[in-house]
Amino acid sequence: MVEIKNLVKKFDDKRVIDDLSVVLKEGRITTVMGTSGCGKTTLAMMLLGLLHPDGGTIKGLEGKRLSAVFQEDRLVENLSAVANIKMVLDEEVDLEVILRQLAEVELGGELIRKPTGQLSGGQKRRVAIVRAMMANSDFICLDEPFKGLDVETKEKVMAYVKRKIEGKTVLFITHDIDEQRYFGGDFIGAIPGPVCEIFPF
Amino acid sequence: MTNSTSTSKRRIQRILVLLFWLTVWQLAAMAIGQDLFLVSPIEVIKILFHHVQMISFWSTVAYSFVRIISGFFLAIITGVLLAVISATNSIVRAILEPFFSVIKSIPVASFIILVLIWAGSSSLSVVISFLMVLPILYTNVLQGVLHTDRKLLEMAKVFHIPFRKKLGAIYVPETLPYFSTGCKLGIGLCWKSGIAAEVIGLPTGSIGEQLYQAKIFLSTGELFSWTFVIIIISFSFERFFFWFLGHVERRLLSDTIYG
Repeated sequence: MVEIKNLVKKFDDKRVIDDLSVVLKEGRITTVMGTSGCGKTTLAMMLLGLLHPDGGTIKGLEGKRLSAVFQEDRLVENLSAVANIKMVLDEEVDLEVILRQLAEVELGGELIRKPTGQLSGGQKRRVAIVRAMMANSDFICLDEPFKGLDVETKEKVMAYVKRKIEGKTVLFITHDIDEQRYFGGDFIGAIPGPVCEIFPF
Repeated sequence: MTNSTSTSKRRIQRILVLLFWLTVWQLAAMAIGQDLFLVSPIEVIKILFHHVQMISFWSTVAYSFVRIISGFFLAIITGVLLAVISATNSIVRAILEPFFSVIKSIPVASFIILVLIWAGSSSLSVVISFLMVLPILYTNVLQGVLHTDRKLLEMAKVFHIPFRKKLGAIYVPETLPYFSTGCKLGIGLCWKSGIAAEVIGLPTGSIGEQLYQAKIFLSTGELFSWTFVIIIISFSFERFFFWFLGHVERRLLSDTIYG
């Protein structure tokens, strides 16, 4: 369980997150929806330890292994898809295992040998997703993970992600209500300001 | 047009440009008619041909080469180490900043005289080329490390990527272009400053000493031929160094380090 209590984050004088209290239940997916610039990514960054809150506390992530699909792909572009994935793995994993996972999101053949800088936006996105799914983690943050994927690929990738996150604590940020419906779980509606209601979907 | 055709066309163009300037030089020397003022390229080639047959020529070249290049490599090692320490520690960076600003603004002649008093003439060119290259390497590598993609570093932090992998996959590729630029600037400067130091300090058996002798005896032919030797060594070393660096770069930027 991740417990967020009276969380505050300010940029200059603007309170991007203002007194947010919410619980992310263990082994469940919690979806955050809201307009652009309302603090969704800021919340994710604080949960990942990349931004320090100006007030309030986050409990339950101490010593936990984290994983994320960031809003940007954040791939090492001179390395191949396989090398990018291997970078985040704790132990040696058979190449076959990585290739199987990449194949699940429709990546294979010559594509996986190319430096990721030479891949298309959608292909890079899928590499970033497989990397996050394969990393050994207790908490996963998905910040608009399916952005830029075409409809057909998106369906397959969503099915892959749903399988991989089963039983894990996940924060899922999206603008798409259909994505929220597909993954189910809990739902956070109103950021900024105190969260009005959190309800299981 | 294929790549190889355009490359050979460029090569021919370069040779023609070189021949043009050699002809201008030869005609100018013939017009002046006095070797003391302007020696002809043919005369320079004759002197060079005479030199290369002597063992003393090769030992002179080796003497200067070893010292100047040692200074260059010492500067690379020290510059990279100090830049990495400075990038991770702002106090060290603040302490080193005035030191490097002072080194950069002091005239090389002042350094030469100072080092001559402190260390003598035999190691003069090592110290001078080291001091001239060090600030360039330090500044460039520091800029490279400081400009490393913050978003990639955040990704590495979230996934707990160990330092060894982070170094090879993020820091090195991001810093290499800055390092290469530093080396390119440094190589030219180490030869210019190293030879200038030898001309002032006159270490026995150095190229600088030969240039000084040429000045004493007003031998323009000797001056030109030794200058030509310096250009050839500097150019050859630069080509070799960047060929080697390119090889290392390709190795580091490939996936092979991850199996």
